Amino acid sequence: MFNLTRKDFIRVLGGFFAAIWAAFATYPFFRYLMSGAEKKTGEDSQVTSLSLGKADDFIPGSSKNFKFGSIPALMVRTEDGAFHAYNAICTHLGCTVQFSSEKKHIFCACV
Amino acid sequence: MLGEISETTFKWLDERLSLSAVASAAGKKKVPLHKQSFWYYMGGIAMLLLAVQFLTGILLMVYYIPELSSANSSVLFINSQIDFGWFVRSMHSWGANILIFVLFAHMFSAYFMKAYRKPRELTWISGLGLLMLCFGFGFTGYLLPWDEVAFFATKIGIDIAEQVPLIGGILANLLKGGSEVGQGTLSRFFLLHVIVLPLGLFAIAGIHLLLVQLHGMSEPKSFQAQAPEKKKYEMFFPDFFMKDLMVWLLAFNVLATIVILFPWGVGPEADPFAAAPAGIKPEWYFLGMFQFLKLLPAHIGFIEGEKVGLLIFALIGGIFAAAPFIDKGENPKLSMFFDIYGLMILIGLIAFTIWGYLA
Amino acid sequence: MNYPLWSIPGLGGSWAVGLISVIHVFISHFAVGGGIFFAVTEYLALKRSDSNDFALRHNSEMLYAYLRKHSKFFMMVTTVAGAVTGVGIWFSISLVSPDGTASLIQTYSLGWATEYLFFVAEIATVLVYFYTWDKVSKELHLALAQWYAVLSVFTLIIINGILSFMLTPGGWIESKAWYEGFFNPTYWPSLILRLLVMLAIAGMYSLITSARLKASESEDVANFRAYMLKYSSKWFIPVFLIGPIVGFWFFSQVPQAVITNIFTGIQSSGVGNFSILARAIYLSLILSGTVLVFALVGPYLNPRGFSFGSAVAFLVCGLGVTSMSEWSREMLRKPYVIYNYMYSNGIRKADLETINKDSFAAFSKWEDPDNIGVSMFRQQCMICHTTDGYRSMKKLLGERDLEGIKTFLLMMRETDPEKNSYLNIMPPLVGTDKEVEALAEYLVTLKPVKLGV
Repeated sequence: MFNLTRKDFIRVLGGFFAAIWAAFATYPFFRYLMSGAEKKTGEDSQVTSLSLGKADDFIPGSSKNFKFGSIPALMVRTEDGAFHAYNAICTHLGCTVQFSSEKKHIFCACV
Repeated sequence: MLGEISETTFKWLDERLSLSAVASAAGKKKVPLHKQSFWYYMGGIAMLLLAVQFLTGILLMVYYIPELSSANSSVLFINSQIDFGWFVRSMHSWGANILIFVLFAHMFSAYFMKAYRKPRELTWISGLGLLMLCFGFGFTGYLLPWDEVAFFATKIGIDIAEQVPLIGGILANLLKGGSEVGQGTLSRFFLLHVIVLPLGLFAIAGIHLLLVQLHGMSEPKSFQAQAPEKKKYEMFFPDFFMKDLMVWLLAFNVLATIVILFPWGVGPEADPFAAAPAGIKPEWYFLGMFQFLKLLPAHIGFIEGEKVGLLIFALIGGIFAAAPFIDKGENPKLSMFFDIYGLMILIGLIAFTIWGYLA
Repeated sequence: MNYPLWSIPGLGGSWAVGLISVIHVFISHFAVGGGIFFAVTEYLALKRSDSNDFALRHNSEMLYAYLRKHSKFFMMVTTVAGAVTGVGIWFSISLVSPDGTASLIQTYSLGWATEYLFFVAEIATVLVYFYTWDKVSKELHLALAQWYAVLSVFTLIIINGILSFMLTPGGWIESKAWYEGFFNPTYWPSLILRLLVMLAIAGMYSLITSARLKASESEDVANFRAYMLKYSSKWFIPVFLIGPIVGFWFFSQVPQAVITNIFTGIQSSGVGNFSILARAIYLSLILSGTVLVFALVGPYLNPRGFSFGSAVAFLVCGLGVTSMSEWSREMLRKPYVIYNYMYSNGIRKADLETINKDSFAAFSKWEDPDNIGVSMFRQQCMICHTTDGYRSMKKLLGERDLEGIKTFLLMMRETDPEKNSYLNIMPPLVGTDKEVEALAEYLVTLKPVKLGV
């Protein structure tokens, strides 16, 4: 079955090098499509802190989803009065998580 | 081993797609060899350039935003921020212009070689339709970067469309999509440019190509008159096709060289309330007609000058398009008339374009 | 600045040099590649001449006839056009860039002398080769071809050292030892790259002679014509196979700053001078790729349909690739003529401080004290710019007024890349405040005078 003739070998070799040249030819279009994702807009990386309002506006056991730069974030005030802020991207499927004040836990609607 | 694999693959596909029938049909196609054979390549070049437009057009849509405040800056973003964005954009802009030029060459060469005669009347008409569609692409695409020159050129274009007898007002409103050239116009032009016209193009180009395959290459009279043993042909596949590929490579090289040495820039963003800058001119392929319209007086008799101008265009174009139905090749005087007629149009077009360019 | 300069309005001196050089490169590469082509093809002809197979013996006869025809073309092109353009380069560079030329001669006196020796031997051999067809034995004639090939490769071996030295002088900058400059980092990759290209160019020229064979003469000629076209196109195989690898090798040896320059061009500005380097390299890649496909679909797959016109078109494409590649290579060096040592306007990097402290006048023997501005422009800018033609100052200065030009020029004098963003493509300006002012005053006169408001 696996009897590679000389002609076959030359063909495979030729195809291999042709593929290298083809990669050269398509590289610019690959870069064209890729560079959109690589361009970072200024605000994303610059945000280091932001204000969500007065501390008294958040009763213990409440929460708020907010935008932190380009990242979805979640702030929870627990019953003990402490503030906790999280990156709200779920580790499972990448959805945005929320806080349930009844069940008192953070959950994700994407199952 | 490779031979076996490709054989099996071909057999598998052949049983499902009847490739060998297509291959044997393609194998029969012949291309006459003579002094004017050069012009046979024009259609192929146009097809290549259309493919380039199609691909670069898709790529541009990845970053282009058809919205009034973002259109110009998104094109600028493509041109100056995205890797090879300048290449894709310039390819599209230069390719469009070269395509129109090649289409002109294709049309006039077919015309003067009398390739429109029976049975190719419909090929001729569909070809003219494709040229019109490409004009449409040019006109709508010109506005999309939303720069100063494009904005005012579009205003002029819509103004001329308004002069079309009877339906002019409706046509202009349909194009504008608002009281003035603005977001409505941009949205419509975008839609026309990327959806409506391409669909039309695919349909008509499909018919055009199918007809070309059906009838084969047209043979000029001088060639037909030769004794059968003197007539030389070559096979379309693979001989002519290989040559076609070489011509495509050359055409692509020309395009790439122009694109890289003279990349297409972006003009300043259009400001609808600013005064029109000096030197507003339509694209070169509309320039001849534009110059002609400019020469007409405001009123000819009861009718507006521009209306008369458009009627004249319709008449000239109508006769040009009707050539296959009048010049059937039986009457040498008619044949002669159409030769001169075409020559006059060609000279007139070139003269008015140069005039418009210098004016 | 020890020499007067040649001013070519509109075109600019660099273009004059460029046009002559590109033609010379295209011919001299043929001279070397063609040498190998003759040696190999004549070897085939000789080997086949005493074959038992009639077809091969016949092929051998045809090959000999072909080689004789091709050798006339070869001799004419390489000895006449090649030599004239070669001398033309010397004339033009010594007028346009005398200091750069002087540096090259001083560093490589022995190299140039050897180059000249090989060149003379090469020319003599090609003449003997052409005039001894049928006059000496076949074996001796083949030996002449081989001898020619060796001599011509040696001319490449030498000049490649000097050319690649200009881009990557390597250890020479410190040690000033000639061999460190000669066998510099890009010596080997560019030697191999050039050899590969030379073989392809030899094939390209051979396509011309082959396409001129008249297929209509007889079936026999038609067959041989097709055979020769296919054979010639095979000379593209080496560059197709090894070209990309050696290309990578070459770019891996180029200074990092140059690579950064290229990528800035790809990313940030399609329009403008910063990106022209990236664009030129990209174009030469596109053209090289298409030349290979052309060779495949043209002479290789469809030799019978390959006309003389196609061969000429192909040759023009080849000239296009050569021009773009050589132009890119020249621009890689920007803003130097000898990388990191001498700027393109002939000013040594080491002299910058002294000149700025004393004055440009003290440094230049050709400064006109009444027209300091003009002298400054001629000696520092004119190597790349013209007043109103190629890279026109009129256009580049734009709307700037005297004050604007002065500020710009002062920025150009900075040698800190943070302060002078043009440093990676243009030599820094040198001179005292007064001299810079004089230059600004001259430049402002180039702009069209605006009337009214």
